[in-house]
This record gives sequence, structure tokens and C-alpha cells, in this order.
Amino acid sequence: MKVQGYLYKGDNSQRHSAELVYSSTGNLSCVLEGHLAFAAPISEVTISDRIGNTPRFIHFPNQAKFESDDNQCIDDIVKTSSMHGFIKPSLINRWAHSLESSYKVIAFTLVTVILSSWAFVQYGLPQFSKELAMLLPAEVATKIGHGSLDLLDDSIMKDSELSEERQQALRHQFEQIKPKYKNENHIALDIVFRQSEAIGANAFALPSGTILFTDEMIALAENDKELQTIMLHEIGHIENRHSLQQLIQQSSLALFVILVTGDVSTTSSLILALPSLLLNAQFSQGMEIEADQFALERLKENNLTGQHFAAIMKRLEASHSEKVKHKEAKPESNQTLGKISNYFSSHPATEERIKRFEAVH
Amino acid sequence: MDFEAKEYTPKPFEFSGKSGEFFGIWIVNIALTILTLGIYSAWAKVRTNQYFYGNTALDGSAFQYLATPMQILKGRMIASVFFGIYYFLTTIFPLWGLGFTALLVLVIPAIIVLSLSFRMRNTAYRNVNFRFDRNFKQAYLVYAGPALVFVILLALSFAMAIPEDTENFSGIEITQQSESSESLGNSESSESTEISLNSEELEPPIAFFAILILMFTALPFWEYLKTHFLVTNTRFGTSPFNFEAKASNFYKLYLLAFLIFACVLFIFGFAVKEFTSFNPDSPELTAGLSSLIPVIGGIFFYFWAFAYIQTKRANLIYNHLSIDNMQMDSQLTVTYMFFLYITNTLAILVSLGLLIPWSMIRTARYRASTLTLLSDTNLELFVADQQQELSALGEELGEVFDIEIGI
Repeated sequence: MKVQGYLYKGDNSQRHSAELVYSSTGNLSCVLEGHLAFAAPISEVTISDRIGNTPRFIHFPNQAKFESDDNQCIDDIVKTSSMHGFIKPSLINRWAHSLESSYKVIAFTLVTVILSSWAFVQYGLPQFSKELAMLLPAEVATKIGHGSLDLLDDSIMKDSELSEERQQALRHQFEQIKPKYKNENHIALDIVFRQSEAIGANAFALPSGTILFTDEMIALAENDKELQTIMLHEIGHIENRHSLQQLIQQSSLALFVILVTGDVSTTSSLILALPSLLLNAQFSQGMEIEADQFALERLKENNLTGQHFAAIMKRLEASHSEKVKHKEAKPESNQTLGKISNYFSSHPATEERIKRFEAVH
Repeated sequence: MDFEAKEYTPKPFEFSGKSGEFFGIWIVNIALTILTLGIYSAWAKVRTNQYFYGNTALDGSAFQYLATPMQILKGRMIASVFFGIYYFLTTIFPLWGLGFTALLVLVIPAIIVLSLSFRMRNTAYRNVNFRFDRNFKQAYLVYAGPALVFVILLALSFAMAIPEDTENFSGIEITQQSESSESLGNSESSESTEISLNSEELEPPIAFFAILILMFTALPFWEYLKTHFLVTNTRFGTSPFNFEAKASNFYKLYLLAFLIFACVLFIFGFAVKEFTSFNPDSPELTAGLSSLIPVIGGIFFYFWAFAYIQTKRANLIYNHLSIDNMQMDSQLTVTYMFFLYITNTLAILVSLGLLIPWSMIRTARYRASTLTLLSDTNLELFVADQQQELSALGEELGEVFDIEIGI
């Protein structure tokens, strides 16, 4: 078998038109201007893998290199010589190109990749993150959240304007409804109060086990029972380790996306961050429902009803939509404030959630 | 230079990759990577690089990517372990994170050198390998030197300003600051970062602004130094690349960019204001438009500014590259690059990533089509250099820590 191509001898960039001849004894000879330049057994020669229709490079032991785009002929040589046992191509060498160039394989792979990515992101990842989050020792979970309160204090939170007595009373109520545990591996809970114009009425469960109520949230409540249902809901977030779960989810998703798509230098890294941003919002919904469930199960033992929760959630929603309207009417008002409040509105008080509570008397 | 005097034959770069063909390679890469829990990613990287190198030809000969999957796999595994440790430590101890980041910053110049020497060593053309000289000393001088000077100047400006301005701080801020510097330990660089983080709350001293302005004026020069370092340490065989640009070329580029961006932003801001106050009768429509226009306009501006800098910079660098009396010529245009970036991004978003191969191919094709080598001889006189094995660790470290290397 004969292959036409270029020969480079290896000491410089000089190019010679040459011919490669494969003999049935397993020898590759290089013919230059009608004369045999050199020869080597094919087992001592490295033939580059077939990649699409890119040229092949054949390295000889004497540093010479033969370049040719006659892929068909080179494939035939590889096939024949491996059939005769002169060389043993690697698995990838043998299979990769036929997979990559078969329409059937490509179509099948495409469908499989889309389905499995979707299943992984939708079900596998949340389940994995949840199990890992619950498995981690409480100290680690607390340490990861360490500093998030400081961050909030530095950026958008001010000291609470509630009186010391009022804070004390609420803290006392919190101690009452807080679950009592014998289990070692749980996160210690506590409650703090802050004031924030930017965020307005809201409550957060920080990963360290701290629950933060804004003064605006306290003011929104008509009675303390309403606040207690919110406390239960936030405790639900911490008990289920939602923030830790989300952290694990996001970082493994980012890793997954980078691993799968590889280097995407033709656009910006914004695209790689996008899926995790989109999923972030979706994850929160499921977590809210889980925290709701936690609260629902503990209403009775704390002498609360679902009406308390439903009432304050309705008011909360009204107060937030009012805020949004206010902003739209005055477009020149601070845009970043709007963004921050949206970012932190982890309580989309949907009709459905409220309905679930209204059913519990 | 006497380039004008000689007769040059332009030798264009040619790219012959096809989207459909590459899509097959890309999707099989993904499937096998998932199936092997990431291990195949090393083979995927090699096959992708081989596809793009092999489809790039100059004067009838193709480029070749030589790194083996095993090299990449080893480097990738070690680098991932480092990254895992780094990520774990910075997540668990956020305050120490600054210290770890400072440590990472210290090794960046070394990573850049190792990464480039691996990449160049594994790029061949006509059986002659490229090289990047492992000039660590120069790398630290060029990369770390100016950064260090800037950090020290900034720290000094604060140290001088703080005693005079004490009455401007509220009590809380002072306690916060002393708290954070206590827990930070006494590493100089991390402390200065902490101070600059708090700077928004403080009354910034004049010296701070002076140093900031100094930094911005020095940036084009630093860019020039870095590019000069990268180019002149690169060789093809035994022939080094020469860089004929002057620092003034970089100053012209960035100054012009700054002026153009400022003008565009000014006009844009003015237009938005005019347009949104246009319809006082329907406030809802105005509100909707006013929130939409700046966002879309901002995105377009971001892409355009990105394309502008990338294009002008690439042209500046390539047009001042020469090797053995041969000259490079790059004719990228801002408009087309902008068009490419916008359409690539939209296509990838709409197709949920499936058009990534298409966007990679068309970008490579355009880049090659604008690049020419002007030479008065044939390309036969380059002499090969000694072969030498290198580890892929540097390159993979650079990749997992997302270190941007110019050119």
C-alpha cells in the first residue's frame, strides 16, 4: 500500500514530497525521489489517531515525520497490520473515530446526553447534595456559614431598633418552640434582629443556625403567634440544611458544566454561570415547601394554626408587591436596591403554599 | 525595519474544520466523559486540540498537537486535588481565604511559565516544535513586581492617611476593622486587601486616588511588559519571536478605547434619559422600557467593548510579531468580532449549549482567515531544538484556577 505526503526529517523545517510504502512483512518504507530513504517495522512507528479529516502524522524512530491527509489509506494500513498482529492499536484508537463519525451513534448519544443531563440535574444532584449536606458534621456545616451574618451586617443590615424587652420576649418565644434534641449532629439555633430598608419585611435562615428577622417583619405581624409560625418555617430550613445543600448543589453543578462542555472560549464565562443561576431559583421552591412541611407538622404542639402563617404570608406578599410597584412608578429610584430585594426574596408566597396552611386549623 | 524594501509573499493561515464533523467529536467526548466520570476528559481535550491544530494549515502544512492524554490526565488529577484543597479551605475558613488567595497569587507567574512551556513544547509545525523558555526570574519580575509595588504603595497611602482621619470613622467601623485584622493574622498582603475592602465606608484619602490614577496610567505599560515577555520567550525551533511594538502602541490603544467607551456611554446615557422621559402619559410603558433599554444596551455595550479590546489588542500584538525576517499580519475587525460574540452567545443560549461546536469552528475559521505570514523565503530554514519531556501539571493548574494568559 502506498501513501503520498510530505516528509520532514526532524532537524529542520524543510519539506520533501515523499511516498510511504507498506509491505506485507510489516515494514514501512519512506521513498524520496524514487529512492528508499529509510524504513522501519510498523511496530516501532507511531501513527497519530484519526481525528475527523485532519492530516495524520507518522513518527519514525529516527525523528523523521511523515504528514499525509490520505486518511483512508492510512486507516487501511493500520487495519491490515493489526490484523496480521504487527501492531495492537488502543481501544480509543480503534473506536473513537467510528463513534464520532457515525450519524446513528451521534443521534443516539445526543438524546442520551440530553436526557441524562436533565435527569442528573433535576433528580440526581439535589438528592446527592441533600444526603451529603445531612451527612456532614454539624460543626462543618456551621463553619461554612460562619461569616455570612458579618457579611450581611457589613452590606445591607443595620442594628435593630426594637426595644431590648421586645427582643427578649421574642427570644423567649423562640426558645419555647425550638425543637429539643438528644441527637448530637444538629446545628445549634439562635435568633437575631436587624433593621434593613433595602430588604424590608423578611426573615432568613443563615447556614450557621442563626435566624434573622428584620424589624419590618416584626412590625408586619399582628400578633406573636404569626411570628412563631415564621420561626418554625425558618427552623425547617436549618434543620434540612438547605443552604449547605444549595452550596453543594451549585458547586457540583458548576463542576459538571465545566467538565461536560469543556473550554468555551468563544463566548464569555457568563454562559457557564447561567444554568446554576436558573436552577438556583428552582431549587428554592422545593426547599420552601420542605420548610413549610416542617412548620406544618409542628403547628399543633405549639398551639398555632395554619391561619397565623397564611395571614402573615399574605401581608408579606402584599408588602413586597407594593414595593415593586413603587419602584416601577419611579424608574430613577435606586436600581440596585430592587435587585438586592429580589435576590433575597427567598419566600415566593405563592397561593399554593398559603392554601396548604389554610387547610390546617 | 526594511520590510518595505523586500518582496513579500503572503502565506495565509487556513482553517478547514467543519461544524458537523466537530459536533460528532464533541458530543462523543461529552458522553464518554460522563460515562467515565470525568476520566475521558483528558482524551476529550487532546482530541479537541488535535482537531483544531490539525485543521489549521500554513503553506500547505498542518499544525500538530503532541500532548498525550496520559500527561493531561496526570496533570489534571494533581491540579484538581490542589483546587479541591483550596476550595475546601476557603469555604470552611473564609477569613483565611485571603491568605490562601495571596499564596495562590504568589505562584501564578510560575504556573504561567510552566503552562506555556508545556503548550508550546506540544505544538509542532513541519516536525519542528515550538518552545517557551522557562524564564522564571523574568516572569516574577514582570508579573509580580508591578503588582507588589502597587500593593505596597496602596498600603502605605492608607497607613499615612489613617491617623489623620480617625475622627471620620464611626466607632463601629473601627472595631470591625481591628477585629478583622486580628483574626487575619499578620500577613501583609491580606491585611491590605482587607483595608481596601472596607475603603468604601471610609473617607478615601487623596493619596489613595493618586495611586489609583498612577496604576491606571501604568496599566498599558504593564500590558506591554507582559506581552513582550510572552512573545520574546517563545521560539519556533531555535528561532525566537521578536516583538516590535513599543509601549506607546499600547498607550494609544487603551487611551483611544477609554475615550471611545466614555463617549459611547455618555451618548447612551443621554439617549436613555431622553427616550424614557418621552411618554409622560403612560408611566407603565415608560417604566417597562426604561428598565429594559439600559439592560439590553448594557449587554450590547459589554460585548462590543469586549470585542473592541480583544480585536485591537490581537491585531496590535500579531502585527508586531516577527520571526527570522518573517512578519505576521492580522486583520481582525471589531464589527465582525462583535457580531461573532453576540451570535455565538445567542446561539449557545437558545440551543442550550448544542451550538458550542459550531461557535468554536466559526470563530477559529474567522481568526485563521484574517491571519497571514509575510515572508520572503519559503519556510524551510527553521532549525529544530532538542526534545525534552515536560509535565502537564502547570497547564492544568492554570486551567483549574482559571488563570488568564494573554495572546
